[in-house]
Amino acid sequence: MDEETRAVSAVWLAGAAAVSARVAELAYDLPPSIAHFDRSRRTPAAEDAR
Amino acid sequence: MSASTQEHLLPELVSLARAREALDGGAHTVRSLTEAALARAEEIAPLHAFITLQPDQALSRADALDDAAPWARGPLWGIPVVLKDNVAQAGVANRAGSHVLPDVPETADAPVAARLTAAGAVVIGRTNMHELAWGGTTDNPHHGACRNPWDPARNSAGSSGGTASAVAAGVAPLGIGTDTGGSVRLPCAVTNLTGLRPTIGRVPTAGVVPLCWTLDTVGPMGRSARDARAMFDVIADPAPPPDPGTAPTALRGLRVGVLADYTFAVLQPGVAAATTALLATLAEHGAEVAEVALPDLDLMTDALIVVDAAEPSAIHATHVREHPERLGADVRAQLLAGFGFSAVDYLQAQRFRTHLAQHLARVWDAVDVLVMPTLPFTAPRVGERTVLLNGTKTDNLRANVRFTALPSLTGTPALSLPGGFDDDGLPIGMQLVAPSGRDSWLLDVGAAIQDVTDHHLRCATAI
Repeated sequence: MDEETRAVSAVWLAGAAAVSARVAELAYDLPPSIAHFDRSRRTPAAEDAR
Repeated sequence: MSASTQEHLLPELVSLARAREALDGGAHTVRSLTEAALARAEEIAPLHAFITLQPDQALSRADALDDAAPWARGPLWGIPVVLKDNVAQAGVANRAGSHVLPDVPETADAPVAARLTAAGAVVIGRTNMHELAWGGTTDNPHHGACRNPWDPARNSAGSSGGTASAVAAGVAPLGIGTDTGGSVRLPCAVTNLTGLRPTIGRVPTAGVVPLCWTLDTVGPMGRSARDARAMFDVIADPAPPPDPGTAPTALRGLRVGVLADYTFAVLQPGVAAATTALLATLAEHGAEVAEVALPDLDLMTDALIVVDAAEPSAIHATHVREHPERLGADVRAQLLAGFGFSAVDYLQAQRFRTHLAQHLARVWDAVDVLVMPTLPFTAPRVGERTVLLNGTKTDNLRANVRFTALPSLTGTPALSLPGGFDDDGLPIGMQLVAPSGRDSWLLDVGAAIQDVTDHHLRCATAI
């Protein structure tokens, strides 16, 4: 991991820890908001090139 | 209110109404208007707004449209439009401003592109963007740093910066952008355009290179809310049944909410003044302005970054591991950093979205729309990676999404519209947020505001 990636990662992980700490204080039954996944969206050319 | 366009701009390429008037009245054929759009695109080449122009396809299409019977003309008949470089077109490689995606022609149009074509629009080219849509400056390592027509020393934000520069510079009245964390709204804000991030799922994202499955949207960008509405009506899926108790579209009686403490905490002075001025205008025209509150707003940026970084790293895992040299330094670092999040980090951020959406749903009992700036500052200089806010240097990526994060995380529609100018004459964007599914209504509210303001009529003069 280069210096730029390390710097970005450190800030982001600190933010993730703050979010996680707050969510842990919230309701036990708070489902994640991942209802919008749509795996059909990969473009045909990108799929063909795999 | 008449449009006050500058002399070097062709009015027919600045406003949809003027373009229609010119085509319907015979002042222009579709071919001559398309030629004018292509000529203007060549003229603004120093802005790096385009990745590719498509003159042959556009002129051939224009000739076919000129031959079409009047009854066969769609709602955007003959109107030049630009497409962001992440929307599939048959026969064209869809590479999202990157060299990491395959240089292989697509076999079909994305639904958004197909709907524009069916409506009679003429696509004249594919616009520059932040690589893979993963950033907010459109400083593209492969296609050049996109520059702002209001001041070419400054950027057009991102990731849809090329569409914003092209439309603001008078190449076409309308363009397509995509918005994950703010990529339609931010470029519109810094180039004095009007753009909509639709409700998640309202405009199909099929055929659009994904950045973030649970946040991505496709939206219209144009001079005014009416122009954006015309494009939205073409690209959107049919509206779901209206909510009971539909809110008014006139400003009188409109219930406007302001997250006062959060909104005014970190703003450049010109942006603060523009926000206050818009709220005063709304009140003057009969809107009821009230303070509202939401919890944990200071965590929004962090939550957005977790989702907005983890999903691209999953999507582009193979690319960044096998061909890191094909990526620009910033996007490569962001994709690698995204691997650092744990599954629990990701799920907690998604749970935070639910938490925020539940509280926002209660706010809609009290107000019809939220008003706040689109971003806390005006266009930064090209190459700048930090912005000065309240005397503190802040990372551009984080500062960019201070206000755009709320609709992105909650899936609600948000409209950025011109809100005035700072002391340097740079445009300021204001954001309106509405409940999910009220996209058309939100555009109508924007039009009502533009009926009593004139910021959107000023055009860029630097090129």
